[in-house]
Amino acid sequence: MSRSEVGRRLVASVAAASAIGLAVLGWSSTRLGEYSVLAMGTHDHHAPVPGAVVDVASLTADPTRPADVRVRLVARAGTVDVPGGRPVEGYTVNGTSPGPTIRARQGELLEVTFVNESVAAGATIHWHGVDVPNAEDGVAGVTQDAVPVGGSHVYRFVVADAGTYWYHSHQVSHEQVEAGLLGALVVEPSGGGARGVTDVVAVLHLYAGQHTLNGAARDERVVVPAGSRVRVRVVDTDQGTAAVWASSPYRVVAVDGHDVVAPAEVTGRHLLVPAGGRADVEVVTPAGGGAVRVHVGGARSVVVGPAGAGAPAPVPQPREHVDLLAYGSPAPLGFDPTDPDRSYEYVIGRRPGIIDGRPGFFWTVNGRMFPDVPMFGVRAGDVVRMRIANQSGEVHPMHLHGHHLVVLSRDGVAAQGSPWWVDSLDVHPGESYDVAFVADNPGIWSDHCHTLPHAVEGLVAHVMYDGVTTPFTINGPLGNQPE
Amino acid sequence: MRRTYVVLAWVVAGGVFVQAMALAFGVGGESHFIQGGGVVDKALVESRTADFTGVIGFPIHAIVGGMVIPLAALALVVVSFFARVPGGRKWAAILFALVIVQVMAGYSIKDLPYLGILHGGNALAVLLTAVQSARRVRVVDRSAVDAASTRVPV
Repeated sequence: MSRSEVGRRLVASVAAASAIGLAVLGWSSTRLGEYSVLAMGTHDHHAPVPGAVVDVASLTADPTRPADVRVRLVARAGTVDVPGGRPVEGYTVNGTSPGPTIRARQGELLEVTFVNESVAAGATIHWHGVDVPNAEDGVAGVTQDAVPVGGSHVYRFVVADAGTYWYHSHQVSHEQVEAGLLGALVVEPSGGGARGVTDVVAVLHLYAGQHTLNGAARDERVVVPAGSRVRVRVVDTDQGTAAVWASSPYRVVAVDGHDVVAPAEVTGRHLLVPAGGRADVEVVTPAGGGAVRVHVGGARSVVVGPAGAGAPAPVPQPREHVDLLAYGSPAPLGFDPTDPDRSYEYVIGRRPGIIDGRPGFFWTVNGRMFPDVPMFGVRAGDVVRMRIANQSGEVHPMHLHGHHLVVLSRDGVAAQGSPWWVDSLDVHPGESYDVAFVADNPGIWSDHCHTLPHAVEGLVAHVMYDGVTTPFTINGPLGNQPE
Repeated sequence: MRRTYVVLAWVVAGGVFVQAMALAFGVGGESHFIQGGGVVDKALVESRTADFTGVIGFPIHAIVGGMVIPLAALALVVVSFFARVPGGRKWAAILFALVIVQVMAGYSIKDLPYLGILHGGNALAVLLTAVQSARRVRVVDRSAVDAASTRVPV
């Protein structure tokens, strides 16, 4: 080996060693360790905060007001019985999954004592779609610590809007929600439900690949007299969009806990309910007898009709879907979104990278990868506009905590129907939605994809009010892992 | 280095075989599942909990197509600069370009189903190009041997 050859090899070795060293350094810099959401990403507004700093834990309902409805929810790890299917290992709430349907009237104060009997990783309860005070939001590591085995936590909030909601753990949620730590919450109008309308809750959930309706792997039969109005409250607790259609015309009377104004009768179209979303559909059973089949999700149906009426055969899923952008009649929004105080973009993409030391193909927000995603700063009272654009190849059901968004336009086409208020909005590949909301609920609010594995893969940002801070941390000794 | 070049080219070619097998296994299993009354919907797909026979074919297709083949094709381009394979860089570059098209088409199929036609056809182009790249070395070796033998005086 000549001297120059030796020299060249030496240089090559040093270069290779440096490259490996840099790679290891780069990799280790992606490790998250214990962190606070306050340190996440780039704050768009760094205005100095006058006055006191508010701790999320202090953002509660009136502590002196007595509760109108009290509920105790006990979470356990164990076998989930799936009637009509095979039992699976998972989580139950008060012994079943889904847990009990909680019912309250609009304006009532609901007080839920949550007990974690045996969920090893700890657990919380998030009130999906209810605009609760921030301290009651149930996001481990952001608004509270995960409740450890043997611990308990009390949630207190007023249910201001009548509608269909659900509750689920927001600790290791991709695992705990899939395994059954969930249930429905129905808020009836203060004057009671519409007279003569039968109310049916239809919670959709997959247990280890088994499609279930209210926890059973079979269709549900509801007996009502001929000529009855039936409201089916579809709750999509799964990771993907559920299609709903029926053997007779139906109306979409509410979406995500907000009534649709003047809902027209739908025939020959299916309705899409995003993951995490809810839709109330109303059907009328034939006056002359006979039943109606409401398909909820790909596999299950609710059959409603008089006793003894034969169940209609399954009907094929219509090819077209109901476009909620132009469904129902326009009505005032209650605020002016044309001159917003803040305007943000939430552009979803995807690229290879490393998050927390794990290489993969990850989601990006505005071109940046978790935890370097934007922090959407707002001030109480702001009118906020957001453009949610999906530049990835998959659907994302975007879910903002603590607020309802109203859809202004999609791909530049203005909304023409009933105000389309959502907390869970499916944004399809290539689509772009302009939405708006009023920042009327101070706190730190997760704004993430409800296909929960996507949230694990970094599709999580936050809306943060000026002056609000949190003492809770993620990945610390208490094991908080919200996604 | 030439050996590495050949091995990488065959890894890509072999990968295409695995891709075809994995996908056919997955689609076959899915059809069988549906025949038996099973329902495949968005909820099932996103839950990643489907457990019918053949479902393993889909993640295999994703890993081999999204990681193994692109990395092998990229490594082939790098190696081609050091391996003295005539035309090696050109073929490695063509192969890499085809793989990029293939991956992008694959990831966009759910959005634009017509890309499936391109994805299926381009797979064979990737296979043929990979085989062609691998064979460059053998062809060149043989011609080198021939050239050497003609130089040896009898």
